Amino acid sequence: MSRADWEVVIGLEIHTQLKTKSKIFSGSSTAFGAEPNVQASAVDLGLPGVLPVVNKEVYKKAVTFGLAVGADINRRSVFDRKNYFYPDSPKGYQITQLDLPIVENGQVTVELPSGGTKTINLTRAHLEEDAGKSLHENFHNQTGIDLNRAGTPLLEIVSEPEMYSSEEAVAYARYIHQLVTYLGVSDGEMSQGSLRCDANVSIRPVGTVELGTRTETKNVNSFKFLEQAIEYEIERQIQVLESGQTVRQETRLYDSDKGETRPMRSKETATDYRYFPEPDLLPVEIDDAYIEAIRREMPELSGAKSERFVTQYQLSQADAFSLAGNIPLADYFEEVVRSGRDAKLANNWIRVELLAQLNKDNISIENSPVTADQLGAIISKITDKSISGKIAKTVFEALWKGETNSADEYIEKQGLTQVSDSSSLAPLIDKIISENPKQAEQFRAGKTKLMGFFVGQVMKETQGKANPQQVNEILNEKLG
Amino acid sequence: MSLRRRRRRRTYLRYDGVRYGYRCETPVDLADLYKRSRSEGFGDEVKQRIIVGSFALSAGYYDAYYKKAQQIRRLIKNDFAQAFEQVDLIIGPTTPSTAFNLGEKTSDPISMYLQDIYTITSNLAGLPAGSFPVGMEAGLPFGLQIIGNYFDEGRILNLAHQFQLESDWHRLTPEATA
Repeated sequence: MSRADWEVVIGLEIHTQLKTKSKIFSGSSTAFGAEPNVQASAVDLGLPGVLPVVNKEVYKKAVTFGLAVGADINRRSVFDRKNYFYPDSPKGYQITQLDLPIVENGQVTVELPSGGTKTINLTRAHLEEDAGKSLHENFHNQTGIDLNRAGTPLLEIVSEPEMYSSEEAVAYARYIHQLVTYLGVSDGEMSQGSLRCDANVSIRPVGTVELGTRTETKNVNSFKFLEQAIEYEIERQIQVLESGQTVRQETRLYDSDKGETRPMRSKETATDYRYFPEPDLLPVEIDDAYIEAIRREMPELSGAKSERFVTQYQLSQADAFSLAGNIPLADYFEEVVRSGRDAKLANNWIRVELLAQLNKDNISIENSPVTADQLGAIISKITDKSISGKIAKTVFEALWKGETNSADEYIEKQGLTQVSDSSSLAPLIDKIISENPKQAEQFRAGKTKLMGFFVGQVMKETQGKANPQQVNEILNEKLG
Repeated sequence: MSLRRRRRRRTYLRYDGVRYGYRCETPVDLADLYKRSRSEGFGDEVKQRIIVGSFALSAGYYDAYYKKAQQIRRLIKNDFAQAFEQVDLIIGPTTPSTAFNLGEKTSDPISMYLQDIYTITSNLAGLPAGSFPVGMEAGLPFGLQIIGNYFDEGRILNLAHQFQLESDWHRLTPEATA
């Protein structure tokens, strides 16, 4: 058997830290990077006698996310306790939501890098508190505990197990990352742990329905590592099953230095978390008016944006979906076409030239060396026939490399303006015809393929600046 | 009973010997720190309550114990709500008897637990209640309990205050007994 004989099934749990000033149940700051334990109050430390209070903003963020993925917003949600001992969990339990989470049953459709789209259902998204951090370095065989992160609000977004490749899983994770960042639900700073993925991976023989035993690889904090961790798990599970053994249901860790996953703890001996409803917090009840108020404040979502792009800019459905699915790219596009520039041309330039360069140099659209204004100037110059598409690429490259800041200035300085003026092209064409009598005769005798030769000569003489359409017309006239 | 045990358990979870409270000597690792701090630091009664509470919340037992107990609590709450439609305050003895001798009921834990039978109902229903001395029996004080409706603490305190303006039981101290 080989890889092709196995079907991969992946579900993701994405923990995203919510962008709030204070923690989910206390007034401590959530700012990243402070000295250890300076942002841990009595509540965060779990001192006896303290009581949690729910941060209102946390609910707003969760509802915003739920609305954005078309989910059900539970009018009544309940916090629960998940009991376990761990040094960075000071209370001895984590406050989370088990039976009645704030968000259930969402759906997203994402574009795949290899083409096509994929719809993924979301089981739920629930609120919970983050744990502190255990620091193992610089403590001489001891462990340091930093509780600054303890109580940072998290939204755990759980997908259905219905992604069938690492490509789909990564595309989905990227989409969620982009969405929560765009909505202001999270700051999206992955290097600071604002988005961490747990990947549930199992394999089953192609054509079978029953899910295989899954493993859960925890706390993967980059898309590259997510892809590597999933690929490693797939290969490992195939090897295990093909050698006649069984996959153990367990929690694993991804070691990015070694590029492998390894067992963390076995689910068979897993702790019984003894969940029960959090007695220190009342169930949270929200009404339709609250939800509608949040809906009104939300930015335009990709679905609505996509539809608008079709009607407002006459883009094709596919182009509109692709642009709208990438919020910063859509914003860039709208900036380029702001002053009524040709939208289809802009779409082509962004999706072909710009994206290719960005991908090649691994730069995000937000950091594009060619700004929307600069690209817009190029589009204008193409539209008013000042430059040809070919010259436009030269200008684009110059902007990309930082050789100039302004397309207009560069075109003028380099004398790249297209020659469309027949009074200056006609004498040049006369000259070329007279210098090439043999070709002219053959052309007149019916060898019309030679048109390309003449156009080429004109382009050579004008250094590509002649308007090709104009050249064709004059040539036809003179040689006809 | 289950509800109260479970709540004890949650209260004691914080006492892991890390940030405050008793910590065992020279722990070899984290698990040892947890286990010995708690084994050495808690008394038998606390341990018993932790074990019962953990059991009631364990996978497979939740519905039979914890959930059942929650349902019973709701019935108790409803019962009080009905009563407070007709009365302002519910008054009765705080405990079934006056204080017993130290160690007297160790062999009969049920009767020991029953000492607080009159007070736990207000805890379970979430109602405010107060207790104050209203007399002596064989040299030992006994208390009167007042249970009020939700947010009716003022009425409870006022009644106790009025009683104490007219009496001095709260100023008396029982003789020491052997």
